[in-house]
Amino acid sequence: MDERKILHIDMDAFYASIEQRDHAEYRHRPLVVGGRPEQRGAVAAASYEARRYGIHSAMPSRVAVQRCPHVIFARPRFDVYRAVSGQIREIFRDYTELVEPLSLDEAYLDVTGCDSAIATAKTIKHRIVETTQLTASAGVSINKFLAKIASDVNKPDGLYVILPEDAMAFIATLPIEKFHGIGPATARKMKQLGIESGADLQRWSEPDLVANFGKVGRHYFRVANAQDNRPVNPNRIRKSVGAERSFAEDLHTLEAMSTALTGIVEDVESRLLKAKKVGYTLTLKIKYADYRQVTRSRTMETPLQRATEIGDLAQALLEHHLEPQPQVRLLGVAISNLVVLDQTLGYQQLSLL
Amino acid sequence: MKFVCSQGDLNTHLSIVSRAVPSRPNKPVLANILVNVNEDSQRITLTSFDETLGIQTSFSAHVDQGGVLTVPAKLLGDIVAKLPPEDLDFKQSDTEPVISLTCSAGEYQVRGMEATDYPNLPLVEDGQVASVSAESILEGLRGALFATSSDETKQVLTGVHVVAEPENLEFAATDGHRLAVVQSVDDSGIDLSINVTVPGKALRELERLLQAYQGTEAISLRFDPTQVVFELGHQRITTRLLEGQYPNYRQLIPKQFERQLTIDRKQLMSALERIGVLADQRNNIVKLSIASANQTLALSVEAQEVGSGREEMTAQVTGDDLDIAFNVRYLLEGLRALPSAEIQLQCNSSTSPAILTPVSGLQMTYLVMPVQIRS
Repeated sequence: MDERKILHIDMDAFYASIEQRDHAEYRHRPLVVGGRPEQRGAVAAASYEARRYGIHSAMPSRVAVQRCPHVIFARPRFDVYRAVSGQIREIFRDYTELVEPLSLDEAYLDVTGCDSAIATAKTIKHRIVETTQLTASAGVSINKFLAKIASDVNKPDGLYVILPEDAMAFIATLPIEKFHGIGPATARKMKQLGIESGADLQRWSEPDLVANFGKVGRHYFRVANAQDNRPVNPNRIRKSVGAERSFAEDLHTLEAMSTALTGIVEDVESRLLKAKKVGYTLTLKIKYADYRQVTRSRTMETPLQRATEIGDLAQALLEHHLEPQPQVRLLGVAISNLVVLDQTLGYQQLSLL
Repeated sequence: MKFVCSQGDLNTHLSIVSRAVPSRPNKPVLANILVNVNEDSQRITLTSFDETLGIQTSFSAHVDQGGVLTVPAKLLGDIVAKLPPEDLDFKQSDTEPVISLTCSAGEYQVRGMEATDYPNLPLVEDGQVASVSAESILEGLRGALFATSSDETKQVLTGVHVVAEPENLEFAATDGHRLAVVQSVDDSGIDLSINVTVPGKALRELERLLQAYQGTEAISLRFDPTQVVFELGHQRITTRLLEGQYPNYRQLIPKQFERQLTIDRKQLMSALERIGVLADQRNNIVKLSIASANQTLALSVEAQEVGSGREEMTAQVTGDDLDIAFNVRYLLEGLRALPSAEIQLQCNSSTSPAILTPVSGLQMTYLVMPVQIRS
């Protein structure tokens, strides 16, 4: 089989770089995009200056301040990020229809049809800077896993190529945590089996990996042996649409939680509308002050779509499952089992009560 | 404790009480059934209780020595079910809560627990009592139980609302999309006024017992504000009542209709069952087209990318033509419960409630909300 040519394009510190671009006073300074510590925020993105202090995304903002007391907090402007994301996707589509966005700031591109994948990557990087004044890093290789690993090698503003003939040797050098699909739990199990690196993993046969890890063992085998054949899928199916909020102060009363739910549910409704989806399953997430998290789901006969019905169900689940004397720091509502709105084409079971 | 009973009787009555044995008991003793052996009456009484629902049943046996003990419900039930039909000898150990069972197949010892730990069934000794024929209750349950909600977040809708007052005995159930109301003819034994919601689970057990009930005596219903007990011969079901305001369903039933059709029930059911095969593939929606000029009712289904179907039948139609869509399952469940050969379908518009009623016999109203089709 002819080798594919896959690019992984990853914007550098995307949200933070946009804030530094739009606010001259933030440039060259440690900056965090996210909620402020006194609002129990978390870091959504950190500038490279902030990363030098050990600040990274998903870290509680409180910890970020401990690591760098003069760090700047910027409120996220998701509408701006989405607009910029749209600009870069336009650029990608000038080169291939096979674009699979992973999030606002990264995507896989299958450019097998282009003469030179490396030249294409360079041009795309150049055009991104011209259009957005932001830099991206690109990885070039023969499959998604290697392309993604490659884009991380020379970040920021990097370009790294893993040639087909170098693929096995490159994979051999990787620590096991870097592999696609291997999270902390699997990594621990692998280490117990003596698998610390790609080289160790390459010594395992497919049947042995399947015997130890189940079906996903086949995927590990392919990834380790440069046979990751997952296609670049331009229609990645969105599995759920949801919204959540964490609260500056823990909520104790059902009234306060109901009020919070109303806002969350309105967000969910507008996101469903925007995605043109409806869904059969609602999941309520409750996180308590001690970080214990419970999720409770319910699947309906007819798809959920409107804030009123989503709200009623979320409220009922909350009342049913909330523990006594609650201290709630976060509530979330998600709709899954999604179907395109057209498929149910405006059918709605009317309610009696 | 020492007695001889038939395998058949014991097996039947164990399976009756097994339905109120909790699968995850709050107290270990609740995984057991209470076995009460009475020498005077020569009867054995079995009791199970999951702290909401309790079932008690009894049967005659040859009792040499009375006694009380609890035994693991599932264990004893599984053994007895597999034994040949013959007399079984039971004897309790003098020193331990262990019961031994001897039969032609061999000998078993089953360890139980002392009866003192077993809770008393709430039996409503001094409440209001109504006396109703088994037939009337069965009619009410057949016509209403299926329409209860299975959604545990709407507790009060998982039950059947029972109104018992002089000259009216009524059963009602709704899941929010449809409503079934049955008015029973027999109200001779009612001289009280009761308005309660009984859990569907207890009523399903009651329905089962009533179907097997051989007695001619009326059923006693004992109520207090939180509990109801049904007594039929030697059997009792006790359950906690559901709390919460039951919807004021009478006001949901429209008084006047602009459109009405009379139709053969079986013919409509058969057509809906066929149409339902396709409707089932997508969203269970069936469209009814009422045509007064032709005096017909047409049923049609469009299952995207699967297929479509249409059937037409004659009906007596009054009122203007109308297209109205329903969940086919809701229609079929209602039609199955309606007992008459011909039924009436009445409605006003494609977005307001429609009702199905029998032309003769039982007084039942089945209301269904349509599915709205937006274009």
